[in-house]
Parts: sequence; C-alpha cells; structure tokens
Amino acid sequence: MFVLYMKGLNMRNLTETEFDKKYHMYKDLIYNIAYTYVHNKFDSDDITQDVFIKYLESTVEFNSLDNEKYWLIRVTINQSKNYLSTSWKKKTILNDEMVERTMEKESREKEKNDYYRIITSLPNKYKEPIVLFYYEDLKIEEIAKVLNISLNCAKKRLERGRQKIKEELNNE
Amino acid sequence: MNDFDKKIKDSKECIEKSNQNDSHHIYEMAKNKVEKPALIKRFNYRLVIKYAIIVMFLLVMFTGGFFISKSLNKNGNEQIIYRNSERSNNNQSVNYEEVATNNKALNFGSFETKDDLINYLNDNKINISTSSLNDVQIMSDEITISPKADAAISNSSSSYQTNTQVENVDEADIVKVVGNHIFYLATNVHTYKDYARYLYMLTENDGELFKEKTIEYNRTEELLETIDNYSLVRIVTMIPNDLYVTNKYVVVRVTKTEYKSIKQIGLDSKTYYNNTYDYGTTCYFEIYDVNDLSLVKTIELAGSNVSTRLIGNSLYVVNNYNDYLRNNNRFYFYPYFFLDDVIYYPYLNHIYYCEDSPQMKTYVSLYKIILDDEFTVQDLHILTPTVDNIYSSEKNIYLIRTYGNDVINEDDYQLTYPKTRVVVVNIEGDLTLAGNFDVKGKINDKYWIDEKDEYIRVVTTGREYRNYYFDKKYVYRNESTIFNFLTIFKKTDNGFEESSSIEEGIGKPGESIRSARFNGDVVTIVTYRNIDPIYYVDISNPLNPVITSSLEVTGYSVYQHPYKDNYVIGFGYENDNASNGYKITLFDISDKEDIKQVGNSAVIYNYVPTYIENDYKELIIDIPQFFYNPKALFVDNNLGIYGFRLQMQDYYYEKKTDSSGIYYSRNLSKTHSITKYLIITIDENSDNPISILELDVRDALYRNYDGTYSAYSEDYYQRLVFIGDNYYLLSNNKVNTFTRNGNDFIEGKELLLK
Repeated sequence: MFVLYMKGLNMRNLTETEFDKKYHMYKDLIYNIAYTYVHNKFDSDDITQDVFIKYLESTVEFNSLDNEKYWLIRVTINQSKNYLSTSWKKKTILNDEMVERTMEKESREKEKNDYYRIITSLPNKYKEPIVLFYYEDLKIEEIAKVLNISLNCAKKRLERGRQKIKEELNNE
Repeated sequence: MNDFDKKIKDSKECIEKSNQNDSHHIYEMAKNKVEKPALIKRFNYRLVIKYAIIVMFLLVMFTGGFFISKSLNKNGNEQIIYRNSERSNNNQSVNYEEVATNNKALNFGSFETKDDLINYLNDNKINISTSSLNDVQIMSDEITISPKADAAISNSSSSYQTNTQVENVDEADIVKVVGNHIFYLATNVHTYKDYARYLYMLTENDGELFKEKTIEYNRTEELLETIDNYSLVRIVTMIPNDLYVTNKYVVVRVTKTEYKSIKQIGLDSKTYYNNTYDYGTTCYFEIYDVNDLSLVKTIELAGSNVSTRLIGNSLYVVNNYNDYLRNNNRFYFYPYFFLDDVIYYPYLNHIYYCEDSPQMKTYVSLYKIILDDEFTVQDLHILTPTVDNIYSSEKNIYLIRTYGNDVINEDDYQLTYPKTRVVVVNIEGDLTLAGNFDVKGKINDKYWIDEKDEYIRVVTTGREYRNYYFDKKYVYRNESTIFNFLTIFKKTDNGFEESSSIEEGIGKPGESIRSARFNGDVVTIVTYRNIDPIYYVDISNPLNPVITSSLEVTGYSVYQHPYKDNYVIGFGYENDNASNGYKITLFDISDKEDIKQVGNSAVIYNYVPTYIENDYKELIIDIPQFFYNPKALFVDNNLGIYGFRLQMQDYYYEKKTDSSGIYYSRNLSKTHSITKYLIITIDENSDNPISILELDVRDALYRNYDGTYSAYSEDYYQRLVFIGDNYYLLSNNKVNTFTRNGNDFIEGKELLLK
C-alpha cells in the first residue's frame, strides 16, 4: 500500500529547458510513427503528447541517446496501438469536431500516395520495420533492438514487407 | 537506393505536418500529475494491521541480533556450518577495517552492516523487501586467506597450446593438450531434439590416436507430478562450453539451465512443452581427475559468465549476477555458490561499490578457485553495471564496461560520447581491489588493453555527437566525428592516474580503429574507412607515446598476430573497388620510422560467381571463425605455421522463365556446403611471403530435422592440434591424423568419435 501511495510522485529529473531540447529532438520521430497508425494529425498530436508525458513520468535511466530513442519508439508504437483499440473510438459520436476530422480524412484519401496507403495498411509486423527503416532511417540492427527481435527476423520482416508492397502494387 | 526504395522513402511526404510546437504545456501537465498524485480509493485497515503484526513478530524472532552461516543441503536437510578464516602465509591478517579504509581511498566503498547494503540498493531504485533478508548469512568476519597459487604450469613446446593473449595466462577453449592426451569438447551438434554433447579424452600412442573415455552431457527430465494427460516436469540442460587442463584436473565450464515445464502428449502423439517458472541459469564447473576423467568436484556460481582465466593452478571466474532483481527469495539476494551440495554466501566485507559509478544494479563477481586438494574459493563482488569483457595479466584482472554517454552542455552545443570504465583487481595473492579508471571511447576487444610494469596502455575508439542549438532551444544542426585514442595510465598507491595520451593522428577523418596489438614497446593500430592505414606507435616511453610511421594499404586487419620479433601478420578484409575477400598480410616493424609490407598479400576472394550454360553458381565464403574468436586460429610460432577453417556455400541457380520474364531460382538439391582447413606458412624473404595449403576439404551437408536447419554440421572442422610431429584435425564426428614433414602434411588414419 505504501508503494502504491508513492506512485506518481516521481518525475524525470529534467528542467523545462532540458525537456524542451528533448522535445524538439524527438517530436517529429514520435509524431510520424504515430501518424502511420492513426492517419490524422489530431490523434497523432495526442499520442505525441501522451508519449512525452510518459517519458517525464518514467524513471527509466538510459545508457545512451540511442537507448532513449529506442525506448521512445517502442512507447510510441504501443500507445498508437492502444489508441486504436480504445472503446471511445469505436462509438459513433456525432459532433462538429468528429465530422470535420472525417471529412478531412475522406478528402485526403483521394490524394494519398499509393505507396503510403499500402505501407500503412500492412500488418504491423511488416509495417513497423518498413516505417523505421525508410521513414526514420534506422539501421537493421537498431530496428531489431527497438522491436525486440533478432537481427535475422528484422531482415526477414523488412524483406517480406517490401515483397508485400510489390504484390499490392502489381494487384492494382 | 533503387527506384522502388526511393518511392517508399518519398511516400513519407504524405504525412501531414503537426501544428504542435510547444513543450511547455506538456511539461506542466506532467508536473501537475506528479504534484497531485491519485489518492488511494480505499484505506485498507486490515492490511495495515496484518503487516504490523508480521513486522513485530519478526523483530521478536531476531532480537538475538547475530548472523549465522547456514548451509542448505540440496535435498532439504539443513546443516549449519561456519566459514573459517585462516591467516595468510605472511602472518599478516587483513581485517575488515583495513580493507574498508584502503578501498575508500581507491574510490570504492564497502558496507559495515547489512542495512547499509540494503539502503544502498534501495537508493538505486531496487525494491527489495527487507523482511526477506533476515536470515541470510552475511558475516563481518575476517576474510578468508588462501595460500599463494603454485607456479605456472607450462606445457611442453612440442604440443599444442591455445592461442592466448598473454603468456602464462591460459584462456578456456574447446580443446586442450597435455602430454599425450587431448581433451576435446564436441559441442557443436545442435538440433532442437538432440541435446547431447561430449567430452572426449583421446590418447596418442606412437602417432596413433585412441578414444580413451567419453562423457556425455545430456538433457534430463524429472517427473514431478501428473494430472490427466499433463505432467509437470523439471528439466535440466547441461551445455559444456569450454575447458582447462592442469596437471591434476580437467575443468569443464557448463551452462546449466534449470526450469519447470508442463508436458503434454498431443493427439498427434507429439510432445509439447509449456515452459513455466523457476527459470535459472548458473555458471557450473565440473572438475575431473586428469588421469581417468572421474568426477572430483562440482562448483556452481551464481550469475552468467563473462570470462575465465587460468594462471598456474588458480582459476579466475568473472560473472554478472542480478537474479535478485526478479526474485525476492532470500537465496537469490546475494551472489551464492555451491561447492558440491554446500551453499555459501559472501562476507559483507567482500562486497563493494564504486562511489561515482552510475546505475549500479548488478553484482560483478570475481572468484578465485585454487585447484588443489581443498578447492579454496575466494570471492569479491562489486556493485557496478554489468561487465562486457575482461583483460588479464599475470597480476591483475581488468573488468571492462562501456557505459552511457558523457554529456557536456556548452553554450551553443551539446556534446555526447561513450566512455569506458575499467575496474582493476589484483590477483597476485588475495583478491584485492586495485582501483579503477575511466577512458573516453570504447575498448572493442581484449587486445586493445595491455599492462606493462606499472603502466596500463589502452586503445579506444568512438563517435562524438554535437547538437547545435538555435536560440538555445531548437536543434538546427548535428554532426558527429570519430575519435581514436591511445591512453596510458600509471598505477599509484591511490589508484590510477593518466600518464599520457595520443588523441590526434590515429586514423584519418572518419576512420575508426579496427584492430590493435601490443607487443612490448610498440603497438600497431589499424584504422579503416576506405583504406587501411596501419600505424606504428612507439610506447617505449610511457610519458611520451609517438606515432612514428604509418602505411596505407587497401582493406583492413581485424586480428594482428606477432611473428618472430620484427613482424606482424594482419588477418582481415580486402576491400578495394575491384574485389572483396579475406586478406593475410605480413608487415615488417623492424624500423619504427618505416613500417613496411613484405611482398604481396594473400587474398581469398569471398564471392566467386561461375556461369554454366544458362545457369550460374555462387561460391560465398563465410567470415572465418577466428576473426571473432582468435582461439580458433592454430598457431605454432616456433615453426611459423598457422591454420584456420573456412566454410563456404556453393549456391546453384537455374534460369527460369514465366509471365513476368526471366528469373533465377535456387536449386536446393544442387546447392551444398563445403568446409576446408587451410595451413598458412610464412617466408619473410619471399615476394609472396604467405603460402596457403589446403590441409583437408570435404562436403559439409546441412541436416534437416523436422523441417528446420541445424546450426552446424557435424563435418565442420573445429580445431587443429598437434603432439610432436603428429597433427590432429578435430571435427564433431571424427579426427583426421596427419604427419608433418617440413611443410608437407601426410594424411594418416581417421578416428571416428561416434
């Protein structure tokens, strides 16, 4: 009980200035990954905010900037998946904001690049290596670390993802 | 990047830009959550009373206030024993207070009481229940002194010795030769069904080899309980890794894994295992009599093994141990070890911490085991980040850990780079902390550090990052540079001090160190990005090391081996625009002002395509094993003979045509693996000083078990050893014998091992 009461009293030891540097260093990375899941900037901004709050609340210590980046990517992926499965998103709520988001989404569909559409509709296990490799310029070794899989598995998934993109393009 | 890849990359532009650019509100939100934590919904009075009663009960039980050593027989019957301390040979007892004072001066702290240790661990964010520790045996007694190790046992030069870094410091390997006996671990047969490994004792008699004894390591399964068609079983797997041999004993290091599993026989008659809890892995030693391989002793040490060394008859073991992070059971809180069935825990004054080291969550345990009739064990534990690697001289063991980045905030940029901490333990008598030092960059292998007299010479490399800030807020530019250092430290009474360094001149911009080799007063360093300068660095004056000459060649060496007094053999890669392969080069270092290549290199091209009518073949050679494990290199420095194995795949592609056009498909039935063992001889007076002889060649077929590939083939060569003029090429299933006559090898009999 004592431990539960203490929960939430720890915040990462960063001044606001230091956090601002981290924010600008990582916000594009987090936002882009989130966007490939939720496909709109409003939800992507929400997820970005949630990830940074989690970062500030977490007391995990990082050996290096690389490890910090990998941790943030993992949290972003998890938050994005959680976001997609939360119940309020499944309810049909008609309000102005919701209608506006839907209309924008529909208009964007028409303009969306085929490659982007195919990539973001891939199963997660193929999409994630593709996004990390091509969009965020991570190396295979880094992708394996982020996704907690072996190097060979990362290579195979990346290759399989590329194959699937080709198959989809050929089918259209 | 081809067109397809470019289009994937360009598709990122479809992502809409975010409007958010304000970190302040996020920071405030997080801060508000911290300052107003969520209240507990319900105050549980019953739970509070329950804990209070438990605490009071435990206080009453343990108001005696003394600690006893407790041994637990593995079958459950408890025995109480006391650890005895003995005086050292020189009649100077080292008591706890002296040890603590000395180590504080060297930047190490120790613990006076168990509570100090617990508080220290809690401060480092480790949540350990104090109630689990009350009956753990921690003593604040005199430390155990053991007799000095015997003089080094040296093999006759007429038989094989492992390629080790330091003379008289033996390193474990899968084969050792003593007298006319070969002790060999055939460990590389691995399928998911067959867990058997073997220790062979082979005896040479008049050139002929006989299999004298075999010990099989297997997976055991013990039935614990059965319900319906489910069984709870306890599974123990014993995988022998490597071994040492002394005049009395054969010491085999085994990875022992123990866990419980639920076993079910399915409708298809296959057996399924669902591994559950109690998973534990320890470092386990089996000690056999060298004459007949009868088991004499077992020693089990908590933690995962980093490395071992044998000096004389003292075995040194370095483990990382952090099982207590996942297990609050009192048996796991401290590093423990078993001698046969008796468990031992450390003395409190054998546990230290580095006063300025971050993230101390692991016990790095160093054990010294005297391989005599009593098997005395000394131990020393340091709370520090896990150790990556070790280097050992005859006097000291260096525990190496690359950790974290050093961040320096300047006015307009933030600088980060890796650092390495080295903790030094003196092993000449009792295990004693000698100090520690930090060095900028990474030590990428054990050959990059060397001790000579009171000086420690260290080579490091790393990448330094600079993030430049606009208005101290936005990163507008980042850049990185590679650095390469040689640093020399001097041992003093207060630890280690930096004596001198070279921070410029090793490697051109963008080049990092790929290999280094210390050889007395010289270190040769190879860097690489596109070409491979090898540098001659004169370190005869530790206060003023100087780069005296360099030589540019294509490719780079990953392993350097001294040859005679004035030469270095470089083993590595060839990489110019025309060809790729593995390269062996002889360098003349007799003149420090002019390091030279002797004659031509020998290159083994690692990719050879061949066209056969409409089909084609690709011969691809794997990276030689000794590039990452120098012990796999056969070395006879007296005769200048070296040897290693090559593995290659001969892929066969058939030309096919379908609706999309022509493509090539691999034909598995025509694809096969080949293994070769190569002998290298050196003639420094020749224009082609490197000669390569194929000692043996054979097909090595992959074996499929239930649709999966085996990791290794039984036919691959593992090691070449010799006794006198008789050479034995060991693979997992047989031994091929050769007799050497000059530089010729005449094939003899074959001994089948299974």
